[in-house]
Amino acid sequence: MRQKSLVAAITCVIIAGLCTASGHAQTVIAIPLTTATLTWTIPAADATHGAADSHIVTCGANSVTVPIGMVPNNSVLVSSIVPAPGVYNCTVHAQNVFGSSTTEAFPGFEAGYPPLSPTNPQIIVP
Amino acid sequence: MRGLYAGLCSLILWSGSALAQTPVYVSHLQGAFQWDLQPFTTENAPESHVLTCGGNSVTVPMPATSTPITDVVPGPGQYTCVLYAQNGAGRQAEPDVPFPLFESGYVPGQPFQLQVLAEPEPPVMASRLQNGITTHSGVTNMTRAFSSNVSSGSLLVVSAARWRSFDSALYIAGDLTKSAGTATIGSPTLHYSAAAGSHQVVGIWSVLVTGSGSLTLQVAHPSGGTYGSVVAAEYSGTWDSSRTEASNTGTGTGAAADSGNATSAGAAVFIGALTTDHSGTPALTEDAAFSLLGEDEDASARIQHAAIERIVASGTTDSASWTIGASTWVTGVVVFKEASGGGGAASSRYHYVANQ
Repeated sequence: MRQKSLVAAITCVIIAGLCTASGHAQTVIAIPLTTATLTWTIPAADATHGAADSHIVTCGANSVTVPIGMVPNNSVLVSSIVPAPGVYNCTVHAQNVFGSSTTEAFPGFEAGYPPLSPTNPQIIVP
Repeated sequence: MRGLYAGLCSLILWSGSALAQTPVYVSHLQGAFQWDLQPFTTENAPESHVLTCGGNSVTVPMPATSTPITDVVPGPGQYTCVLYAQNGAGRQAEPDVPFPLFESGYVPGQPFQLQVLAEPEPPVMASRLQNGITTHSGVTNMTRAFSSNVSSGSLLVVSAARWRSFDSALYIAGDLTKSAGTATIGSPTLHYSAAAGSHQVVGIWSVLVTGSGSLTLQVAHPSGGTYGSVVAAEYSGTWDSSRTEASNTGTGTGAAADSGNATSAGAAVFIGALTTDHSGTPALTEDAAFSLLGEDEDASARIQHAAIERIVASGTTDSASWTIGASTWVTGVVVFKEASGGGGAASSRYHYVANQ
């Protein structure tokens, strides 16, 4: 009985350790601020879900509304939501006159500017 | 029954006036009826409340003063509901108490497959959703019914060719109309019409679908005795009134029919149409780069007619051409392009809201 408890305790520690390690290992995606987009797939209406009127993408304190009639209606430029480079966590939810869907999270990302091109390339002969 | 009265009735999420006729919109699965009680004594305590919506009614025993919408009405819809209180002595003396008019419905499903992309996805190229041909003999108006519902925003391309004795009057835009169905369409554009000899005419139209549904198109003629066919195709994509990028026409005699080249600057749909004055049934063999949308080779029964398509992903120059039985022929090609960039620069297409 004591052995069983010990095994269970060790298993819990290992699992907890793996979870923690996994959480720490999660990489933040690096993306160019000016061209990167957030995209999502819109589910079809079914027996218990209506059609969306729009989707709301939120990054921190900022959000954009993407009407369903927009083309495209399932993506948005990151630069139209976030004002400057930085690490962001963004979410999206659908809404219609009856309410909102649950909110889904995008992968975390860090938006930044690609470096400028080098100038004056030369071949030096010593 | 004295003083037994259900007081203020409300719907959770209610935000409007009961007097206004605009319904309150609520989630069918999450919404609930709720009401307040007036002060009561042991002599006039309500035992239950009866909530009625049309033909549906539920009794809610005390002490509950709310019940889910789904317990009362079977499905989404607009409802007018009333409430009264009752106990062993009877029901409330006052009239039933109305809830605000409301409409219940389902909230949308949550988006999925969320992605962060370094670059915007390229616009999806136009694709053909359906096509077909209907032949007619000795009719006034020719029709073509789409086999599946057409979708709002789609581009419909129609080619018709007719034979009628000594009638070479060209088609006009208004000859193409909707004759049946639940879909709605915009104003058709006639891109091409030409006569091959004294009796036969061909045309190419396009029109946008403005409302999804079933659809039968009609190519009208003022009098009977028409023999011919109608080819119709539906294309997905982002289309608007600037969809016509280029066109060309050809006419001649012999076995090689060719519209002459037309050029697209980028992704596009080329549509070609042909008719001949042949009286037999020789094969119409289209340009290998094109796909057949529909053809009628039997000029002994009607008139030779073919419509073909080529979808390209980048700038292209091509003509619509056929090998035919030697005869007089007329053919045209029209190039359709989607709206610029699938809708324009993305940065200007979204409304920026900074939460305070």
